[in-house]
Amino acid sequence: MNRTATILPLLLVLGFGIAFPSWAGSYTLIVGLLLCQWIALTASWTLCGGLAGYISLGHVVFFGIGGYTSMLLWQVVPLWIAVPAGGLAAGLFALLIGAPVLRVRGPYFVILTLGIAELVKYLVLLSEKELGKSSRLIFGVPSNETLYWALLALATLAIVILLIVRETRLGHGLIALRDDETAAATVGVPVARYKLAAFTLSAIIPGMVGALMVLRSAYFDVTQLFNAEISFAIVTMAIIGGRDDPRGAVLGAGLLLLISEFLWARAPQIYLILLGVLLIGFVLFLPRGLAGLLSRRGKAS
Amino acid sequence: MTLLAVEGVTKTFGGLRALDNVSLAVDKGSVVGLMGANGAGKTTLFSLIAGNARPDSGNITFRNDAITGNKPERICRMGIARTFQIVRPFLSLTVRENVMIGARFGQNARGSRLTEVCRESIELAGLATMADKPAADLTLSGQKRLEVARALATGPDLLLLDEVMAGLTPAEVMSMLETLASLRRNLGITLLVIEHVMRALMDLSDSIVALHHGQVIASGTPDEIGRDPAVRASYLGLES
Repeated sequence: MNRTATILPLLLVLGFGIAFPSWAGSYTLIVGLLLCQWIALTASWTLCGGLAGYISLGHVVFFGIGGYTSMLLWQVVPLWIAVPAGGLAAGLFALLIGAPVLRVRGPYFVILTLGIAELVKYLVLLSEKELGKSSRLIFGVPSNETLYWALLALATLAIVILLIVRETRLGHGLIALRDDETAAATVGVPVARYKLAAFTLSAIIPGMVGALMVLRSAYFDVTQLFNAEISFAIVTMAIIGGRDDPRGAVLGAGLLLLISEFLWARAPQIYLILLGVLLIGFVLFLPRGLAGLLSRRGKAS
Repeated sequence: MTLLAVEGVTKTFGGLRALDNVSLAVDKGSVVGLMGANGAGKTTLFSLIAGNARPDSGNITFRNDAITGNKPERICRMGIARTFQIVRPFLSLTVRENVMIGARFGQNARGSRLTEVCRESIELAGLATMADKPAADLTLSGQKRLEVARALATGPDLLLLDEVMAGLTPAEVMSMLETLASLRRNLGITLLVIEHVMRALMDLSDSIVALHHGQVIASGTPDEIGRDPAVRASYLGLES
């Protein structure tokens, strides 16, 4: 792939992201903050779902674990410790469940990840209930601007990791095992280790994103934090954007957020219908997503 | 010197005995042919040697190291490569990228050596003009050659070839035979070959092992095998 065609537009977007808060109003800033959130989540997901071909439909579990960790630590430790702690907790969880979970492939993996995310949600719900805390208020949360900068940093980091991994031994091994796991192992790719690395790596940033987002609402609610719709949105954005292209996360998150901003308040039913139509359309006719469309245009001209 | 020794290996799938107490030895530098009808257990034997499946019992040793039940990536790095009868190319990659995966992971080649290993393997397998084509665009014969190229790139001492000539035209069989002969002659690679093209197997092999319903029914030089009554009865369908 042409590196300039990949990196240059990404740098332009980053430049825009850095200039953004200087003119954005308070509402627009929240839109920017959400965009950064989705880019960070989708680009992280792509490491495992795009490169290794292991489609996780439960990525919210890492977001939730990170959020839960940082909520518990909040006001005990400063933000710059709470956020990495959330990432660490999510990464450790991925490392722990990865070995058994990654033994299954295809639709079984999809269903298993969805199930695990739901299971963890209800476990957290249960333990909160036992503690007599069905919901909690969070005090002294950081400003939206602080959150914006932190999320922009995470989105950038997620894309940089994706760009680097694609060019390394790990990335090549992942693509090989995505195409054919048996053949990859037979020519020497350490498939089990590589899958676990991709899965763990794809969990850490979502954990940190969750750690930040839980502090946005000043109100902690388990079902909101572990909402399966977050997982669905990540997969939808990745597929519409192009699930193994670093530009895909930006394109997919950007398009979906744009549509939702226009339609969500005015016609929520149409929004969901459109989402479904888009997803089906892309899977059937543009499996390489918007980024794939760009690459094809680039080659033709 | 024995490079590979298979001793009393048994493998069952459900109630079916795919391999029943199979033993064979492959000498360093030799070409050993494996013959038998469909379902005789030839490919299963390859899978056990390459680590794609685990035997129920028995031992496999390579250069005097026990490799029974090892992971395929480990066995590959020890110097055993295999091709797949039903081809398994990395379809999203080009020919060169496919081969590069083999060289990088199979023998840790990097830098200029990586480029060199890839070029050599592609040339040996006769794919030089197609190096930058997507693997998905190759014909069956091209994909069979890609199997050979990718396996070669891992730097094997022992190469397991699973019907690389099946489905090829007579002219393609001739050129593949030359390729294989040169592997032994120029690179000193030991070959264990499954083949249905009998004449090719007879020409290529120093010795042949005949499998029938998961059991070794005969082994010896191609001439001896051709005269063996058990082989003629079970494989060629002739009365002795």
